[in-house]
Amino acid sequence: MISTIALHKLAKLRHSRMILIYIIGCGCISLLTILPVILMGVVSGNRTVGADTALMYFAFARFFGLVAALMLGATLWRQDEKDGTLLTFMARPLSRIELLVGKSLGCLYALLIYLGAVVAFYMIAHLLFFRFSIPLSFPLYLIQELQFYLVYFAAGAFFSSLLNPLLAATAVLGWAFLALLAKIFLSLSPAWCRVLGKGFRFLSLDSDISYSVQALFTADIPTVMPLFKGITYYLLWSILLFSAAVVLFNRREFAGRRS
Amino acid sequence: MTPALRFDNLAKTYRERGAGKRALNGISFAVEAGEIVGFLGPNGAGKTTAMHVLMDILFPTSGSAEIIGLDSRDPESRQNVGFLPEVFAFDGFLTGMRFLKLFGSLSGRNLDLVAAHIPELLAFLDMPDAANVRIKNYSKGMTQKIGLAQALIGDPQILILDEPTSGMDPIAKARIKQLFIKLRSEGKTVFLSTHILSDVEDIADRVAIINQGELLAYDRVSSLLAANKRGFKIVFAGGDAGLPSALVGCAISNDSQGRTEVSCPDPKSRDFALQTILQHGGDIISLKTLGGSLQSQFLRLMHQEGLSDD
Repeated sequence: MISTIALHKLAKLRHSRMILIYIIGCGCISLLTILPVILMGVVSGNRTVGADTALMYFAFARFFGLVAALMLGATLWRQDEKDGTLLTFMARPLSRIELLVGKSLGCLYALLIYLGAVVAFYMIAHLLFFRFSIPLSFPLYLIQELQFYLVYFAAGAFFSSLLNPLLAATAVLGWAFLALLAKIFLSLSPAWCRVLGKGFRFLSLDSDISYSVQALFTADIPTVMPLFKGITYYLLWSILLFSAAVVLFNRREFAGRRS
Repeated sequence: MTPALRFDNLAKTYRERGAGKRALNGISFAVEAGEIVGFLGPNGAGKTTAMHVLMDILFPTSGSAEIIGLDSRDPESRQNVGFLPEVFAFDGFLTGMRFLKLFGSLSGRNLDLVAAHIPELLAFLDMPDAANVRIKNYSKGMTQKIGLAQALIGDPQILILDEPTSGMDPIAKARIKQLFIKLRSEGKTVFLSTHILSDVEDIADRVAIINQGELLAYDRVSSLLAANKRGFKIVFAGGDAGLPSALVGCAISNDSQGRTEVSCPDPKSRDFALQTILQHGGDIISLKTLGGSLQSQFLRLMHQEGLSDD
């Protein structure tokens, strides 16, 4: 039953005009950024482009993935509540946990497709235009990327149990700004500031222990430990936030639409 | 025998700023298996709230609601239930067939059996061509029918329907009435909320009437009607000069069109009056039961007695 709900959620996302516009928008912005570099390489005949282009590409992919994950989390069941379709699901012999897990699984499929598309475009670009090595830690990096999306997805789902989707997304982004606060406090010399800075960093959903895009292209297998740490960090946050979202969903009452 | 549905001192208060709004005030009644039960009340009476508590969409403030002996909070309780909400909405990109397959599979039924059931169901609902049409292209009546079909898919033993014929044309409404009667003959339970009291009167075994969260009546339709009968009115024309004096035990009056109205207090005097009119050469124009309809009983309970005596 969970997989049925998941596939339905994926089909619903596929038919969502908003998602379609978002994907096309992301693609256009990414192309506008990378296209000049590709053209330069093609025109000059020097098709070996440095890691900078790849960094830019993955940085964009991460940002758009984050926003997509956040949107999916914030509208996980809110959209169904708004359009009145949630009640029909709830009337079936499903526990609310199954319902939420099924819908989340549908979103996970969507994020996997997104990540798959990011990798596929990268590979095509690599074959056609760029020539640089793909690090061996690349698969681990992708796992961490997925975890990164999932933590934002879970945060969106959690906050949407308390706030409307727009406010929920704003709250998550506000929360993520703790990373900035962490940097400020960590740059200060008093010991208590550094302790506070570390605390903010841990809470920021983007801990310093996570593996950056930069690290992907400058390090290799011997230095993959931060990557494992990053995956663990995001995994723990995802579980914590999603569990809280499930608890809140389970305690929630829904109002049906009235004629 | 375990009742199909049971409300036990069920109360529900909506939390609002300031004072809470009490939607249900300790209602208790049980719906026996194999019966059609009409759930009646004016708008805002608490019918939808009670149904939503049954479906675990809302939680009781106190008391409980049960489906075949299982608490409504238990997902297993919905294993044999088909539910149609008051306003049915579904993702318009699905075709009728895909939509029904989806909900059939969510009922835990064999998908092949579900798929085999769909054409029959759509044909009965007079929409055989709708299977491959996207729901977003359906008319209001068709949307309501597909909603009803999703409640029926998987052959549930209990149907909980919130205004099931809303938006349907008279032919469809008549078919749905037939369907409910057929379901009852198969031992299934139908618990329906509706404002069409004549339909309930025709097909329901019992009715529950609520207002402002209070259960005002829960009884067999026949008992409610019998309790509310206030005699009969016969309208006739013609007849010989001795006819008025022969109608003993009935009140007689003449209307503006020259017809005579005879009010009889009970079936015995009614039968006597009918026989007498015919014997004296009168032409019977109409015979009506006074105050005997479910609607008049409903209005009486709503403290509006007398508005619909006919």
